[in-house]
This record gives sequence, structure tokens and C-alpha cells, in this order.
Amino acid sequence: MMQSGKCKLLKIYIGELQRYEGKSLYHAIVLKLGELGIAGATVSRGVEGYGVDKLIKKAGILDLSADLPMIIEAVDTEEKINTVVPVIAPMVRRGMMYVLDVDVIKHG
Amino acid sequence: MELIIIGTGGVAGALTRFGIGRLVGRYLPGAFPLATFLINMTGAFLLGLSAAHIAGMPISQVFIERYGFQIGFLGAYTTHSTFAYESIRLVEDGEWKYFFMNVGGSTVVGLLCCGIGYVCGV
Amino acid sequence: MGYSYFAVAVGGFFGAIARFGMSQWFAYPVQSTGFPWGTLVTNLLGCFILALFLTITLDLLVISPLLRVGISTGFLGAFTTFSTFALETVQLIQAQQFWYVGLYLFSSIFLCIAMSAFGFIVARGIEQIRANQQADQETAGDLET
Repeated sequence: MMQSGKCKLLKIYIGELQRYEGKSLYHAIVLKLGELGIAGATVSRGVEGYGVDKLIKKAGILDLSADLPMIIEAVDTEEKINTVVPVIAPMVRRGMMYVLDVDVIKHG
Repeated sequence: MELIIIGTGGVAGALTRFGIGRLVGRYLPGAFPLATFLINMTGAFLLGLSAAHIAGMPISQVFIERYGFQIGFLGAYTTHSTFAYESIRLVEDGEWKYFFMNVGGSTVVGLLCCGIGYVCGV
Repeated sequence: MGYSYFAVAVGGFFGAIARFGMSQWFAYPVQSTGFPWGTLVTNLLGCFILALFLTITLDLLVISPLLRVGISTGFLGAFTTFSTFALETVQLIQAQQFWYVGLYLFSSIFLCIAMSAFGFIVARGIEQIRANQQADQETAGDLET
């Protein structure tokens, strides 16, 4: 049960178009996080960015707006995040994932 | 059914445009919408060329070139909506120099390319 | 990523056919006046819809990215055309219809860009209305508690 105080933030960067078992990957990840009982998760879309492929996607150039960056953030206790990471990591075949220490001030 | 020929040309044109867009984005990145510019200029040239090529011939003889290549492929390959969209985005991003270059350049160079294409095709 | 090519292909197929349909629809006015109405209306419409559609779907995140690329890059990209505009202008110049050349250039370049800008404006207007609605709902919710 997550309370205020020291927790972990899981952050994932992927492409909009990445798929997983018939769904969009970002959607599949959020569903999976919910399934695993994570306190909360948010998806936001980046307007511009690049990754390992060095192709700068941006909203202003039409053909490059097709695969914009998606950012998924989830916060929970260290134990919870640790159980979730080995499940989520294999889903993200391409992209970046990291875990950050956070001090939760308010939640709920 | 000429619609199938047009549609097929459309598939090829749109895919080529998308592919070139991503290639240019990968190897020649920048704020200027270079891909759309190159695509529209080459497309205008090719249409001028093709128009001169089929001029005076009966439609039945040049059916594929007219419907498949000109209307289908080149029509889908070049794009006006992307040009306008990217132009406004340049304004929003404050890239005024690129805006005027894109609008003025596309117009002038586009007409030139088409005219030159036509002359070449004659 | 590979699926996006399929989406663009499908969009391109229908976009080209729709453009042809528009040119057929305007065949009579084009023939009788010698002015390329078909291409112009198609381009004006496409410029407006693309800006509106893309802004709404990027800001409000309502649809799948495959659908977005299929409709914008695929359909609308194929629906509008630059090459036809260029050729028709060249042909008008050849026919020495200089008033038409001026009119066509003005409407294809200036008006089409204006239609695109208009699409952005309408999209942002819709977003603002929705934001206001949500703000109203929230304040109403606060008042209830």
C-alpha cells in the first residue's frame, strides 16, 4: 500500500507506434501496471525527440509526426516497482526505462 | 476500372512520399520541410514531362500513364496539404525565414520544374 | 512501425480515388470556364481538414497513431496535390489566361495556407471549449462537496 514518503518512479520512453500483442505498447503497459496493482500511471506524448535510431520525430513535419515519443510514468513503493520491472522490461523491446527515487508529498 | 489503376498509383505515390519523408528526416534533418519540398518539386517536374509525353495522343493509348502515373502516382506523391501544414507550423515556431523560403520557393521552383519538365518531354 | 506503411498505403489508395472523384464532380465547371476548380477545391478542403485533424488528434489524443498517419499522411496527403496545381498553372500560362494565372496562384498558395491556418484555429477553439467544459464540471463538483 503506497503512502507518502520515499517511493520509486518508473519512467518509460517508447514510440507511439510500437505494438504489443495486438495493442499499442503504451496502452498495454498501462493495463499491465494496473493489473500488477501499481498505485497510478500516466501516459504523455512528447512533441519532439529522438532515440537510438537518431531520427528526430516532430509534430511540425508531417512524415516525422507518425511515431512521436510516449512517456509512461508510474509511482509506487520500492518493492512494488521492483516486482513490476522484470515484467515490463521484456515488453519494451526498443526504448528506454529507468527508475528514480522520489519523495511522495501527496497521493490520493 | 480506372479507379483501381488510380488507387494503385495512389498507394505507390503515398508510400514513396512517406519513405522519402523519413529518409530525409534521418539524413538531412532540420527545421525546413525539405522532404515535402523535394517531393513536390520532383513531382511537378515529372508531371510536366509526362504531360508533354502524352500530349496529342488518344486517351485509350496512354491510359495507364494518364490514370496510373499522372493522377494516381504523381497526384498522391505530391501534396498540397502537407505543404500548407508545414508552412503554418514554421510560422508557429517563429521560423519566418524558412516560411517565406518554403512558400516562395515551392511556388517559383515548382512552376519552373513543371515548365522545364514539359520542355524536356517535348 | 511497419504497420504505419500499410496505413499510409490504404490512405493513399482512397485519397487518390477521392481526388479523382472531386475532379469528376467539377468536370463541368472546369470545362465551361477553363479554370481548374476541381484541384483548387480539393486542395482548399484538404489543407483545412489536415490542420484541423492533426491538431485535434495530437493534442486531444483521441485516436490510434496508425489511424492518424493513415488519414493524414496517407489519405489527405494523396487527396491534395501539388503537381497538378503546377501543371495547370503552366497550362494557363501557355494559354495566356493571365487573370486566371493570378487568381489560381493566389487561391492555391495564399488561400490554401489560410485554410490550413483556419484549421489550426478551429482545432484550438474546440480544445478551448472542451477545457472550459471540464473546468466548469470540476468547479460544479467542488461546490457539491
